[in-house]
Formats: sequence, structure tokens, C-alpha cells
Amino acid sequence: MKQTKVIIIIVLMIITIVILGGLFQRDAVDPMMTYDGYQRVSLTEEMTYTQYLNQGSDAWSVQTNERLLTAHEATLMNETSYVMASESDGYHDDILSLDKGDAIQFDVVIEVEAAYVIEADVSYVGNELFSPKFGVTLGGTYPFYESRQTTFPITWVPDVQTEIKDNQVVQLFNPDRYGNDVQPRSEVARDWTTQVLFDSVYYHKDPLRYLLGVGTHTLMIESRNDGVRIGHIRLKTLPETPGYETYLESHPEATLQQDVITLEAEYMKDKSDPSIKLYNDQDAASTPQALKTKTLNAIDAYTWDEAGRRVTWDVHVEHAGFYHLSFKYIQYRLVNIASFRSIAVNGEVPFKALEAYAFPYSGSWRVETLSHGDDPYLIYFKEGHNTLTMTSVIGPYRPMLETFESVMKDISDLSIEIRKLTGGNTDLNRDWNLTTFMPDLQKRLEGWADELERAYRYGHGVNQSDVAAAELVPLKFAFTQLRDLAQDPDDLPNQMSLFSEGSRSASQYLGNLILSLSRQSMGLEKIHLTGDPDDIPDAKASLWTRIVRAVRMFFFSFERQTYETDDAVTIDVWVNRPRANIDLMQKMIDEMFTPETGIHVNLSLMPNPTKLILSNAANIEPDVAMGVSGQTPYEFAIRNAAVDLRQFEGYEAVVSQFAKGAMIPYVYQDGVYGFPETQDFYVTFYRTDLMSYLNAEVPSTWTEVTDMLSLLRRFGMNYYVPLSSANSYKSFTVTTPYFLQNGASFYAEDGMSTALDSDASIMAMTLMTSLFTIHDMPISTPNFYNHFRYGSLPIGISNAGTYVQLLIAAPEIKGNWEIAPHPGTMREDGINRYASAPTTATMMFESSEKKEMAFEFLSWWHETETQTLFASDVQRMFGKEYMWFSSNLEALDTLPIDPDHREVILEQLRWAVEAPNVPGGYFVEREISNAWNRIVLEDDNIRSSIDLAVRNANRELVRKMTEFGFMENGIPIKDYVVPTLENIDRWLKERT
Amino acid sequence: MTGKTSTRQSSSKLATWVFVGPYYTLFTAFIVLSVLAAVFLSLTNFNSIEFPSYVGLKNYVDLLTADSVFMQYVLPNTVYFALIVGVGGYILSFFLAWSLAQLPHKLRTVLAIIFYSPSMTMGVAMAVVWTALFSGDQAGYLNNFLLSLGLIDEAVQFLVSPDYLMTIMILVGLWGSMGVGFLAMMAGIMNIDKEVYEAAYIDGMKNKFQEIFFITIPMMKPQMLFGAVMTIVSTFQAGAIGVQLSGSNPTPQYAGQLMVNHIEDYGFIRFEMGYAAAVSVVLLLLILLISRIAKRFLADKE
Repeated sequence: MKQTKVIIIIVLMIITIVILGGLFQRDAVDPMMTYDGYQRVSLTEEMTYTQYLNQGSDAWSVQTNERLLTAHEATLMNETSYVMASESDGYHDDILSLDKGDAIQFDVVIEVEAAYVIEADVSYVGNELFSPKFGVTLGGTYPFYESRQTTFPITWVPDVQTEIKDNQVVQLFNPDRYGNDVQPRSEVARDWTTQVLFDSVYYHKDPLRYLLGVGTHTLMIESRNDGVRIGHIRLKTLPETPGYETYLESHPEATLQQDVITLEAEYMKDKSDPSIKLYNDQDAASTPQALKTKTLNAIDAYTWDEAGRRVTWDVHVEHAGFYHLSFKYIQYRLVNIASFRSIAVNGEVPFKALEAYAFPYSGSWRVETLSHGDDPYLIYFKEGHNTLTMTSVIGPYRPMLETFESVMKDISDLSIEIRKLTGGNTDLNRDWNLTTFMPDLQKRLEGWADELERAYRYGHGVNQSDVAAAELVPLKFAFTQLRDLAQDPDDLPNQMSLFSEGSRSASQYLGNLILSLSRQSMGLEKIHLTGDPDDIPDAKASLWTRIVRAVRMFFFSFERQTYETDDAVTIDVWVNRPRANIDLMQKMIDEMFTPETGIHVNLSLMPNPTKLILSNAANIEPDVAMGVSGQTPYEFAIRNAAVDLRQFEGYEAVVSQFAKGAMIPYVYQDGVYGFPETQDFYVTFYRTDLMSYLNAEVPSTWTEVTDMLSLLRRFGMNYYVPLSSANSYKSFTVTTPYFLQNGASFYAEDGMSTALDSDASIMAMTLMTSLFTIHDMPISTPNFYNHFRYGSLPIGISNAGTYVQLLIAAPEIKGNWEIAPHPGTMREDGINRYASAPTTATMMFESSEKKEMAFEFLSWWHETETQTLFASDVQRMFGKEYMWFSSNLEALDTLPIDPDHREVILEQLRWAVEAPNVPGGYFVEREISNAWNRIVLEDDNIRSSIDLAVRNANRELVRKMTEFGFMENGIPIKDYVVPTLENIDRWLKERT
Repeated sequence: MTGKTSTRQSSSKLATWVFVGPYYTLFTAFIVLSVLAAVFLSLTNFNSIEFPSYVGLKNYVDLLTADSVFMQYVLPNTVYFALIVGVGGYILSFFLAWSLAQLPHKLRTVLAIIFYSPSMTMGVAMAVVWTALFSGDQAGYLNNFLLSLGLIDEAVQFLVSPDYLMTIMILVGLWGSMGVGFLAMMAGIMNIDKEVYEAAYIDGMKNKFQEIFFITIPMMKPQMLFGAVMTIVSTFQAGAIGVQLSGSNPTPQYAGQLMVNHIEDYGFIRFEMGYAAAVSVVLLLLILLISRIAKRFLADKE
């Protein structure tokens, strides 16, 4: 008995150990050291640059050769202008000036067959150049895909004062009013520089090479941006970067110097992108460091990540010779994955190993001395001024990323083919004989899986690890999923969520990996040039220093940061915007507005707009509120707490800059109580790749939309309108287009009742509901952005938020989507595209005693110049995702986005219209929403549903009109005028 | 002699005030005064910006005679929700507390934490778990599951359609109803002296049922009352559920409109604070009344 018990216990223990062992055993990988990446073979498409490079191996290695092209030889195309040297701002020869769409063409005679890079003297003078792009053709065609989007790197220079301290450059950042350093803004370097042509996303760390045989070639360079000036162009062969040994031999006399030179990373000479930002690292060892204020003392890792982001520093060296180069960095974005940088001294990468140097993962500050194994590299610096450049490179991840992209494209092609066969049918009980139509299906799936597995093994080789890295696990999911699908290819139509659709599909895993692996984030605090790396202080402060600092900080935190101003000339402004925006606004005001007018402005962050209402009850209202919702000024106006802006001189000048329709919500009776500050817009977003596959045109009327739906449904796709959002409350913002386009209005002319029962309104309501009841649009879509990326909603109407999201966070469909105006209704005089364009507002309060000053401030803020500067500064400081869609249309016209997109947005804003405000109007909004829900979800009859809505809405309108004294016992006693697009002009004049 | 007693008396009086004082001060400042302010505001027309004007009982008259939304949707919804979630949740918490009390110590603690946690994480869970579960497109978990089983042909609008919203609110409400009351009840059950049960078994008690009805419940009446009051208050105060699930206030066609939502609707959307105050006073009275009833059932008689 006892024995059996013991045996059972032992057996159980063994089983447990085996199971636990299995759980804890780490996934071993057999790493692969070299890998070329998978290039898809497609007869219809251009080859990729990698394929192109593999093509002409014979001609590549050839002695140096150069061919000069000057402006005189160029054929000018489109609007390109020829500028004489005297007007070139310092160039020694005549130049060419190109705007968007302009091109220059050269007939180049080549005598030596070779691979040439294109070098040019360029100067950028446009103001929307975040990343200037060019298309380069040879003989009228793009030799490879990347040639469509190329770039001569641009340089941004921080706008700061500098001084020399200990021979090195120190930058003096401007403090804000509390003494904290302000992020410096950057300016495009407009002077002439010599640049080499790269692919615009810097997938390839080397400049693009064009293979030119003996003979005459037609080279055309087309600018995709405004304000580009080009001087000489040189076609030249680039010598290979030498190996380390050769490099050492080329400096035979140099010796290792013992000087210690320390550079602060935050004092950047220039950078490739204003998005590279500085921040205040609180660690005691990060310098400069202050106790009471925040000093900018390091480069933020999250902003120095995209390939091609480049930073240059000045280095002053007293003794020429060799130095060891060490970097104090932090790199924690991807666990156990290295970030790569190329390092150049005086513009040249000294030897091959520095073309892509790996900085291993490190969650805290760490010093890395550039070395080979334990042997630190010797790097030569000349005496005097040197520059040091570090560029983020994708490095060895490129073949992997190319594989992912190719496989994703293949997957997407196959999924469209499958959809064509199945018609997007989602019936799981139906069996398909896919292999009859695609006999090689299984082989294709397995092929991709094998390719991805090779990339997976190579990925571990790059990280020098034989244990699975967590960041690469999605890749493993992707290829195991593909392999599982290959088991039963006929079942693929029912398994599309594992294949190409949705967040767990193989293609989505790959898309996410592209995003995460192409980001080479790294923060930098210091750079050291030393003779002995042991001279470098520790990367981390000692425990004692840290404790002392923490204690002192704690006590300083009791001190109040005060800012003294004269109350009589200070206006209080509450702003409902992010902290970063407010800091910048304050800085602009202090620098520009206060000196000019003598009016001080005190901005305060208002996290919750209801504070305004409570402040009123407590009698501590500000003079001005900014960033409030479009509804707020009206709510205060009907309760006599807002200021009518029409009484001020200069009112007309301010409002003339806005879209007329955007003013409607701010009208009450005779007055206008708010100015629009930012401007949203609703436009059509569409996937160009899928539209061309479907052979569909972007619809511009609702009839075309409904016609298109049958086609989309055949492929299991659909069309998105904001009515389909998951929010069950259908606000005026989403219902306005249907009503206004049909000539309907929400209220009767006197505002005392609703006009929901007019014929036009019923037409609008019919359209709004039939899209769902008849045409089967999706009723509830929580996230259009994701569906758009997956391709299940390849077209739809959405707003500025989606625009920024797609621009910044949808790398896998980059260049594959466009925008077009909102669909409209065909009327006698053309297509009527009315759509809402919600604005946020600025307003003034009746309780203020400084109304004149407040108005002066508002009119300054809304000026085109101020708005333009703010829009560009906010991006220059915080990066391109901080887009400021100003309601000042002239300022909006200078927003640095694709000019085609800007045109669409401005065109749509010509059709901007907002629902007017009426006391109790929210009930009309609510009843429309309820009626829509009843009709769509409960199959209610339209007319009876509207009848009910009208009854309810009118009751509330009467109640509210009575409350505000426009009605008594149901009889109007005072006129109320509802503003519309037709009569809005009478409010746009100053009160006389 | 007398002098001594009086000092002792007065010093003990002082001690009493020292101990009770902070509570009384806070209670007066934050509860009594705000209730009084609400009562006062309910007699005015206050648009939250201009100074309130006195209108007498007009708000109450309007509420009872003219507010069709209140009578047609809000009141029935609130009572319905409170009845099912309140009573159901109450019975459920007693049952769970009792079941847990039967388990060994460690397991009990772990399970108690598991059951208690939803009531703490309500807000977050709502956004993350429930809306994802009931999401109205094909990617919603429930919809996806039902679609894959072939039980439905197209996604059901769980969170938008009035037919489902209330049911889902009740489900979520029940899920989160194991709050403080549940812990109190568990403590009550654990506190009962084991000897009482033994004595009862000797006296002829036959099964667990009799144990519950004749010993457990009578012995833990104070905790039962506490649990009941907590449940009543929390169910009547519930308002966020419907709004968070459907993403809007008012909820679609008022299907999930509870009294708290109605108060917010009037107070912060229509800016009629006076009326909103009147509704909240009614809510207060309703909670008081029902707590009274509960007390009558559960309070110790002596």
C-alpha cells in the first residue's frame, strides 16, 4: 500500500518536472548569418532596387569616374525656371528652380559603363519640406521602384544662441517664464550644400546607384515639392568604404591621443528632421542638470528612430590623431534587439564597420565604446574643427523587411484573388475547391512560410542570439500560421482572419514587424573622445548622489514657481489643449504679442471644459477661453455670460479668414460670440491599390456611392460613413451632410419648431437610413482606421483625426491611399457637397473687465501670420504628427502636407456648414438620432418615426424658447433668427 | 467629590467631541450642506451660469406631470434595473459568501478577491472587456462567436439596439455587484460561532437548508442589513453602465436611461441645474424609502 503511494508520488513528480521543464525551456533557434531577402517576381511591376542591384554585377566595380551636368545643359520641363547665378543666393553658377511637378532633363553621354550615384548642389527654400522627394527616370521609365521616391537629404538647424566653452560648442536654450529650457525650433538650412541621392525612406544605407552603359541616356529629375533649387549635378562612382586595416594604413603617422573630449549630445549642430527632440533626463549623471528647473540634456530615444534620421555635432580637437569614440546611450524600445547607427567623421564613414554599428539593448544609460570585440577602434580626427554625424540605419534588418513586404504583397494579391472567387462569402459551412482554380496554392503558402522562417533565423543571427527574442515571436506566429493554412488550402476562404484580415492575420503580424523593426530608436546623452575608455565617468550616478539629489528635489518641490505681472494689464486665458501646445503658445505670446502691445497674457491649462461653467458659479471666470467646443460660446451667450464680438473694431478682418459655414454655431440673435480656432473636415479616404484593382472610380455623389456598394459587397468589402461609427448617438456632425445637401434644414425659419417633417428632410432621412436598410452599410464600426488598413473598408468618409493617423501610423499602406472631397448630391447647379466641419472656439466672458485687451489678443491669435507660425512651430518642436488644422484658411493653406491633399481639404472647406444653435436644439439632434435608430434597427416606418421625433422635439423647443423669453404660453413674443449659409453674411459685419 | 466627578464628566465629554468632531465637521461640510444645497437649488430655476431664481415647487410639478421621458423611460428603467440587479445581486452575494465560507481559508481568500475585484475595476473593465465583447461589428467577440456557430447571419447591435442594451446592463451590473456588502456578509457568516451549529444539530437540525434559515441568517442580520443598504444605494446610483456601453448620453432611445443619467442630461447637457437638483432629491428620497423598507425586514427587533 505504502509502496504504491510512493510510486504514484514519484510518477506525479516526474510528470510535473517534465511539464514544467517544457514550460520553462526556451525556444531555441538555429541562427543564420547571411540572408539576401526574398524578392517577389512580378512581371507587371517594376523591380525593386535590390533586384536592380543584382542585375548588373559586371559593371559595378570600376575606377572612379565623374560626369558634370550644369544648368546650361538642362531641358526645363513644366514651370521650372532658370535663375542666373547673381540671384542664386551665393551659388557660383546659374541654377534651376523647381516647384511641385516641375522637372529637369539631361542628355548624358556616358563613356565608361559604371554604377553612378547622383550628387547635386541643392538649396531648399520652400516651407513645407519635411522630407523633399524626387522622381528619377532614365529614358522615360523608372529603372526600379525606389526611384519614384528619392531624396537629396535635407538639413534642419536648431535656432539657438551658441557660445564656446572649453573649446566645444555650447548651446544656450531659451528658458520659458519659469526658467525651464524650451525645445528649440529648427529652420531648414537654406544655404547650398552638396547632397547625394537616397531612397526617401532610407531602406538602403548607401546612396542609390544607377547603372549606365556606354552611350547617351536621358536622365529626368522631377521635384515633388515646392521651393527646390538645384545647381550642378554630378554623376559619379563612389569608392568603396575601406576596411579597418586599410583605414589604419591610410593614417600612417597618427598616434593615439590621450585628451578627453566630452560632447553633450543635446548641442546638435544640425539634424535631418525637426522631430528629433531633446528632453530633460532626471538622472543625476545627465548633464547639464538643475534642481529647480528643467534643462534639456539628452536626445529623446522615441524621436530618433526612423531610418535616415541624422544628427551632426561640432567637435573641436586640439591634437590631431586617433581617438576612441564612446557614446552614452539608452535603447529600450525593443527588448534584446539592437539599434543601428552609421557613424561618419567629417562627412565620411571612416571604415566599413561603422556603416551600421549595433548598439545593443540597454534599459538604462550605458557607455558603448566603438570596438571590435574587446579591441576599441581607433578613429582619426584632424586638428581643429571636425564634425561627427550619426545616422539611424536599418542596417542588417533590410533583407528581413524586404521579405516581409514582398510576402505581404503576395498575400494581399492572393486574398483578392480568393475574394474574387468566393465573393467575400463568409458562410463557414460552405466548402470550396480552391485548389482546382489555384493548383499551386499549397506550394505558394509553404514557400512563403519557408522564406519567413529563414528571415526569422537570420533575425536571431543579427542579434547574435540563439534563443527566441520576444520581438520576433510574431514572425514565428506568421510562418506557423501560413504552414497550418497550407495543410488544408481548400479551407483558406474560411480562415482569412489568420491569413490576411484582422489583427491576428499573418499579414498584420508582418505589417507590425515592419513598423517595429524599422524603428531604430536610441537616446543619447554624451559623446566621449578619449585615449583610454576607462577615463569616462560612469553612465549612472552613484547611489549616494542620487539619494542626495532626490532629497533636495523633494524639498524644492515645496517652493512655488511664481510669475509676477501687473494685474491691470494681464489677461487670464484658460486653454483646453495639451500642455505642450500651451507652453508654445505662451512662448509665442511672450515673444511677440506682449512686447508689441504691452498686454500680458497668463495661460492656464483647463483639463476639463466644465470647469468654465463652475468658474462662473464661483465668480472666478477668466477673460478668455480657448480650445472650447463649438457649442460652448452659444451656451454662455444665451445665458448672458459671453461677449458679442461684433462690437469690436477689427471684427470683420478676423472673421474674413474663416469658412463662412464655420461661423454659424457662434451666432445668437444679433451677435457672434466665438471665433473658430481649429477646423476639422470630413473627406473621402480611399485605397488607391484596391480601387484600381476593383477598377472603381471614387464616387462623388451618393448615387455613385450606392452604385459602388454592390461591387464592394461582391468582394466582401464595404463603404464607411461616419453614421456607421460605434457611437449610437448620431450627432449633428454626422447627420448634417444629408440634410443640407438635400436642401433641408433642422429648424423652421423662426426657430420655434423643427423642420424635420419637410419633404426635403424626409428625403434626407430616407437616404440616411436606406444606406443601411437597403444598401447594407456596416451599422457599427468601432475603428475605421483599422478596417481601412486591412482593406475591409477600402473607402469611407472620415475626418482630420483619421488623416493624421493614416499619415503617421499606417506604414503598410503608405502611398496607397488618397483623399477626395465628401460625396454630394446632384443639384441643378452641380454637385452639392455640404458637410460639417466642426471647429473648436475661442471666446470672451461678459464678466471680464479687460474686454478690449482680450479682443486685441484674440485678433492677434487668429491672424494668418500667428496661426501659420504656430502651426509650423508646433510641428518643428514636437514632430510632424502635431498637425494644427487652423480655421484660418490662409494659414491652413500653408500646412506642410501633400499639396494634393491640401487642395482637397480646402475644396471641402468651401462646402463647410455647421448646424445652427437654437435653444433646445440638442433635442432635435437627439430625436434625429433616435428616429434613425428606430428606422435602421427596428424597421420602423420613416414617416411615423419622424412624426414622433417632431412632436418630441417641438415640445422641448417650446419649453426652452419659453425659458429664454422668446415664447409665452406657446405663442412667440420675440423674433428668433436662425442663421444659415444664405443669411450668415449679415453677422459677418461689425456692428455699427 | 462632586467636583471630581464633574471634571471627569466634562473631560469625558471633551474626549467625546474630540473623537466625534472631525467626523461631524466633515459630514456636515460635505454631506449635510450639499444635500441642503441640492434641496434649495431644486426650488429654483438655475441655468448654472446666471444666479438662480426661486420658482417654488415648479420643478417637482414638472417632473411629475410634464416630463414624459422620466415617467416613460427613466423611472421604469431605474426600478427594473434596481430590482433585478439589486435583489439578484443581493441574493447572489449571500449565496456566494455562504459558499465561500464553506471553503478552506486560502482558497476562500483567493476566490473572495476574484469575486470582489469586478466591483473595483468596473470602469476600466467596462471599456476594455465588455464593449469589446459586445461590439456591434463582426470583430466583436460575441458576434464573432455566434457568426462562426452559424446562429446569426449578421452582427447584432448589442450596444446600440434598445432590445439588448438593458439586458446587457443588467448582466454587467450583476457581474460587478459583489462589493463591500458581499465582504460584510462573508465576515458575518464567518463570525458565527461553530458551537451554535453543533448545538442545533444536537437539537435535531437535519440539513444545510435549515442551517441557513434558522441559524446563519438570523445570526448575521446586521451584516445582511448593511449589505442591503449598500446594494440599494449602489444600484440606484448606477448610471455609468449604460452610457459607457452605448457610448452616449442619452442612451439610444432612452433604453438604458437611469436616473443618474437623467440628472446629468438636465444638469450638463441642458444646463438646468434646478431641475437636475429636483431629480436628485427625488432619487435621494427613493433610496431613503427603500432603505427603510429593507431595515424593517432585516433590523434587529429589540
